[in-house]
Amino acid sequence: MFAYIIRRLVYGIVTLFALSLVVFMLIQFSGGTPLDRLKLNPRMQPVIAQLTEQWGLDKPWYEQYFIWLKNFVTPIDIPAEEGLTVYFGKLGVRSWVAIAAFVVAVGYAIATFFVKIEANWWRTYRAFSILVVGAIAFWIIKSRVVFALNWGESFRGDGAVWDNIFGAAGNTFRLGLTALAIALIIGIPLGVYQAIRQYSFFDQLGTMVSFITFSTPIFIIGVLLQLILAYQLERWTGVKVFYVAGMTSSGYAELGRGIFGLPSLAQLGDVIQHLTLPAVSIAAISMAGYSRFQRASMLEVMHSDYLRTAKAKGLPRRNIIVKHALRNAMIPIVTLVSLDIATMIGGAIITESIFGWPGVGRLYIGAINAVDYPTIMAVVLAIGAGVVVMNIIADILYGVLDPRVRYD
Amino acid sequence: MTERPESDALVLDAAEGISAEPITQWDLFVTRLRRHRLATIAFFYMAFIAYVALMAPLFTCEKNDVFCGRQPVSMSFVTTVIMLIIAAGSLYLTYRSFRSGLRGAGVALGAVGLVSVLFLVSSWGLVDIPHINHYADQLPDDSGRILVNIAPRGSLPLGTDDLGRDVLSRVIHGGRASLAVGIVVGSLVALLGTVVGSLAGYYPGVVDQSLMRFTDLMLGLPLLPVAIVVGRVLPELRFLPDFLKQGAWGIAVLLGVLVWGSLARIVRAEFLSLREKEFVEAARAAGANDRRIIFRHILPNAISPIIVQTTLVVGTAIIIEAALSFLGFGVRPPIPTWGGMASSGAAIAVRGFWWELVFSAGALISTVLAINFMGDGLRDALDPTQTIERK
Repeated sequence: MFAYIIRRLVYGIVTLFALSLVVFMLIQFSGGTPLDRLKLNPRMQPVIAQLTEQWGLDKPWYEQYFIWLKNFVTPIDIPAEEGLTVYFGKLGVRSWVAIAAFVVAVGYAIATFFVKIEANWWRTYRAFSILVVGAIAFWIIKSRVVFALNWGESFRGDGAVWDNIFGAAGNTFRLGLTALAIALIIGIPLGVYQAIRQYSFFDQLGTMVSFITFSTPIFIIGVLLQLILAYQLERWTGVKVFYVAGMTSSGYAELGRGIFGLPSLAQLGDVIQHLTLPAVSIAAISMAGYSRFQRASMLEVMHSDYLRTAKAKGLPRRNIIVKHALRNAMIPIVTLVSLDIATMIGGAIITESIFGWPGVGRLYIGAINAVDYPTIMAVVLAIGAGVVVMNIIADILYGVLDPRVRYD
Repeated sequence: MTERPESDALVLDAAEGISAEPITQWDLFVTRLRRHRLATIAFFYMAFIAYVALMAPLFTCEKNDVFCGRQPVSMSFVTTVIMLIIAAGSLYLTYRSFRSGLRGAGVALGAVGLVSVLFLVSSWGLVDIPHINHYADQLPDDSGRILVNIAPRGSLPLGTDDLGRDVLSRVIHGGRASLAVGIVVGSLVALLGTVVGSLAGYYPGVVDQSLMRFTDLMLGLPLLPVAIVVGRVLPELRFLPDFLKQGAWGIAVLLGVLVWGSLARIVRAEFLSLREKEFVEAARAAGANDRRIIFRHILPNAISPIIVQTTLVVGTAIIIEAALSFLGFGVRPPIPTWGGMASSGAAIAVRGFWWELVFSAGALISTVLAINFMGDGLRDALDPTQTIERK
């Protein structure tokens, strides 16, 4: 299993390397440079010359690529005053909670190597602890306490690419995790119910609706949600229920302060008003997929022999469905969810540009339009790395949850 | 569903007809496909969309032609006649194949002919068409004002957009981009996926390993970000021929090159299991060479997953093309596409002019839906092990 993970990681790194080379070459051969906009102004000539020199745009493309690649994997020395000691001085409650969770999760993950417990809850918990460790590691990287790589300066003059990306990634995660939660909370019970009442009116209706949702491009869902639930609803009721752009209102800070640095109720309401529509538009397609998949896997389990045995023993129907069927039918869903993250990132690019959500997707679109290649490369590689890691996690989770699976 | 088991039905059908014709795999396929009512409707709907897009100049608002209620059609007589002949011929072919279950070869020939005609004509339609793309030829009313944002009404069934262009004409012409993407991606994916998959599945060892590593690499690429970056630079790439830079062609080729990985994996898995079957061993014992075994013995048995997967990939590709055009990195604005129209339609729908958005989105959703239904129906019809009850 360990060798398997290492092998997959090596393939992943080769993929990312090829990806970076292809994207870099494409940008180089397209003939557009980030200085095209400045060229319109004749007085900008010295600035252009200076920036060309500074960014190394006059070098041949392969040389530029190697310079970029070398910087991309080089850590930055973080000055001492920005480092760990000072940072711990201004930690809030949330940070302490996060650190405590991290310590628990890491200790837990280490403990699993020494403790052998053959129980379902242990397997599940161990599987999800990997996700927890990942999330905390992300938080630490984002806060720049420990570590940063030299991903260059944005050509659009808005600072270090590393900071931009991890700042935006937090917003994208807020959107994506909400969408994932919505999709799971609605999609899975829907699929289970459809499987229990197979061929009923509700089942047929659900199948039809998921088929249509599945065939609808995400931007159409987003635009329709904006038009109907934001503009029309406001027109009819006279109350602003949902917002169509941004993460918070401009007067967010004046909405009061909650305890322990947490947002107040009014702030929470404001966040929900902004978050709902983009999250739902991302969730809709995944939800359709999950309910279809859950229905199929549930049906497969319901027709299996051990379930017939359970029925024959005279167990209550509710017990059979929840304890015997659902547990096994959930296994494939876990894999599907991990693989779906890649789709969700794609969906987030489109949704963020529709709803003006300041996440990675919007950063990417802006960078593409400005030929800001340090940002383009970094976003593509960050997303690519996310896809690689999620694929590996999907495989591991599958093996952990289903003891029948073996790696070769 | 309360249908008879299909084998019985076929035997009965054959007995009632009292014909000496043998029941072929193709007959079984057509029978099963016709049972899937939605898939049949979807097939005809797709044929309809294809014909309309293909014959776009016949139906759309040429500068002041009959559909705009003013002057007669300006298209040349010869072009019209040729197009009508093609349309009638293809329609008749489709009708015959569904009516009588044409023998495989005839249908395949007809389909190839139809596809190549579609291919040629849609490519011709994707270049810059002045009267559809530009607003120099907006529709003026009787007093010469330009009809901007006109709601659907008699002479303008789907209204006009914010620049005074006829939405119906643009929806019809927009179908050509989606159609071209569908055809190009379909052919490229079927070709690349099948070739890579069969080579990897038939020749174990180095060939298999290297091809599958490459496939893994392609599957590991984040699709939308890469498509966006290529779509952005496509019109400016120096080494590309012109026809790939403009219109949907470049996008279609790009998507086709990016999405064949899943099919290659499926084909490889099929080949791996079929290679060990007795009939292949028998063929090898009879002295058949590799080429003959691959093309005559294994590939025909692996054809159904290829068709089904290709259909599903085409649906995805059409959505991605629309998304790229929506974001502004696909087919560039003056040329009509459904994604681009949804983008400009969304901007004016806020002010209450809903028709451009609704009709372009409707065309897009219904087309993808039809393709997915076709995939569903093909899956049921092509898989002889699957019974009709379990969908």
